[in-house]
Amino acid sequence: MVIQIGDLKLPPSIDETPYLTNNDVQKQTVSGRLITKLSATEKWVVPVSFETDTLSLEFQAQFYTQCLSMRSASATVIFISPYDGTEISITAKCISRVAPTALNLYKGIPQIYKKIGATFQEV
Amino acid sequence: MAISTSTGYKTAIKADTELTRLESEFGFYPTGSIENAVVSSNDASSVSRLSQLKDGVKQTKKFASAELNRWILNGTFEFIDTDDSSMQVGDWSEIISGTDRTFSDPKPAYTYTLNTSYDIVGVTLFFDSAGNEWATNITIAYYNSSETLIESETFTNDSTVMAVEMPATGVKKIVATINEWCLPGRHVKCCEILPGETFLFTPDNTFSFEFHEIIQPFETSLETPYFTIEFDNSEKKFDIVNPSGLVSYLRQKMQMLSKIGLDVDSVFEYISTGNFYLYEWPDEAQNDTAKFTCRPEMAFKSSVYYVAPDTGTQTVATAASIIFTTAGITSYTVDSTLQDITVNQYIGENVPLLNAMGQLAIAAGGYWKFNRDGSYSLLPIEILADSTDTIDYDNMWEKPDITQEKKYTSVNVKYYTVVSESFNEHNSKVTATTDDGETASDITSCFIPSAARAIAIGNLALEYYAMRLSYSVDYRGDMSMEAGDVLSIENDYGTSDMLVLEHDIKWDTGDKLTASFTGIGGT
Repeated sequence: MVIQIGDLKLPPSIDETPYLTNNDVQKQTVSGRLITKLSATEKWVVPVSFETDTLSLEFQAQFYTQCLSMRSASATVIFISPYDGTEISITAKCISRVAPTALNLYKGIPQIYKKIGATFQEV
Repeated sequence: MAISTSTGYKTAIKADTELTRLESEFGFYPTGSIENAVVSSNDASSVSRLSQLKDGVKQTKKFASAELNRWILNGTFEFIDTDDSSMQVGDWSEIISGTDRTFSDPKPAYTYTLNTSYDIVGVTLFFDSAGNEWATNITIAYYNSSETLIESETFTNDSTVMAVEMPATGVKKIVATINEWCLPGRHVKCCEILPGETFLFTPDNTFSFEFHEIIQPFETSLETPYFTIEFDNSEKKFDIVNPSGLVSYLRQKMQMLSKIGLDVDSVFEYISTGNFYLYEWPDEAQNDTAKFTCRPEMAFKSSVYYVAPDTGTQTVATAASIIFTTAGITSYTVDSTLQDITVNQYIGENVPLLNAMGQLAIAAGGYWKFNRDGSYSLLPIEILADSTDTIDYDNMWEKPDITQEKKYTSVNVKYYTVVSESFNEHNSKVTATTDDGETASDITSCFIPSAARAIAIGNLALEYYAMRLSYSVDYRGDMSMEAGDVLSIENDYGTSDMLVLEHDIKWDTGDKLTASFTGIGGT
């Protein structure tokens, strides 16, 4: 469960679990051989995802502003470790955002998004 | 040729799974500040070796002593050998810490006197890492050249390496007073003091690292190798507009050692990717990442010129010694087969050293190799010697890109006779037995003194140009291969040999290690 991203406190996100990874990269050589490259240290990847029926437009705007600022500048992300249940605080950047899908497609009224989300990775 | 490694390394670098680790150490202390400094202590014991506090060795052994609870009889302790002056001991104070771990007055203090005033970012003290002891409270004071106190601050510490960030300008003397030790009844043990900080770049704070090395036979404008490291700057230390940032303390020629390690049976085997010096640093504001580019020492000598002793002739070895003595560099070698070749002394006025190096290599029939340890070697051009390694399709990302270059069967080599500091230029055209190709561009080196030497160079050049296949190979990366190596490259019909002219190694947190070669070979 993700508690806070930068200064923004989050309501519980859905079905997304932070995990540790050593950034496996697989690449294929000319002969078709798969080479796996590992990172020397494991890093946290924290996905966040919301169904927005209950979230205000203001929060959605805040969330995406926060994501945008964390594309370049790292900030603190606090979450509960799925491995041992402890609260963990990391410095992370936003590595991807879920393209927001609009719920209402009428023009001229404030947009409401069905699902918003982003993925953060420890730096 | 090709850096030697363990056999385990060669297996691991070609294994299906690889784990690499980048490590770079940046010495953020002013150039020349350590070599010319004097370290003294108010309380050195008879076993102390104060000169070792600035020799770059940051660790000693676990020494036995009569201190309270230190010497455990488990076979890991050694005695300080007072007859062995090479033994790394550092400094042991006379005074011992009290039961409350503090030192009574006069407290042990180190005085680090610099030869002139420097701008420094802080002080780093290396305590007894083998014995796991350190100072827990220390006061650092800076004095300027008129012995006036500039700044004094007290710091606490909880590790064997204490890096104090305390930037100041115009520092002539640093006094480090040890107030408290981590254990009662112990001497102060310090093995190194640095007038600055050592920044360690690891995969945790580094985003990318690029290393480029090159050899340039028959070229007079030589390129120096370099590496560029991009690291996390989210704390804005290297943001030029940050008033408390450290950019203004960066100076060219601060040293940076970089290496890339490969996991070989759970132990990292490191290979150097350059022992170079800071050349360029950030010049943009508010970046979350910063980049340092480092080059070998010769890159800083663009405004230093070759000065001929006379207008006669000399050997290649003598010419090389003039170039490197002028540059103030001691670590260079000239291959024994090239040393005694006769070359001109006078090559003109205001010839930069790098250009003189290029011209000398042409006259000698060799090429300069900028070694990763920061030294320089003049090596003979060998047309496809035996290959030292193989890169097959199992280790390439793409098939090698091979193109055929023009056929050259004649070349004009210019040579020069010197008459009282002016040249007479002569041409010496060398043509292959079957002259069915084009004429290569002129080869010029003012070091070439005679027609005979020009013809020898011309014949060597034609042999070199006969390697008409130009290779570009993207492969997995192997730090032990170098520019100048001959490698066996797989193609659809078998293998062919390639002389490596350029080698680029890239390490980054996303794609990890990848590399590419450009080279020549075949006919």
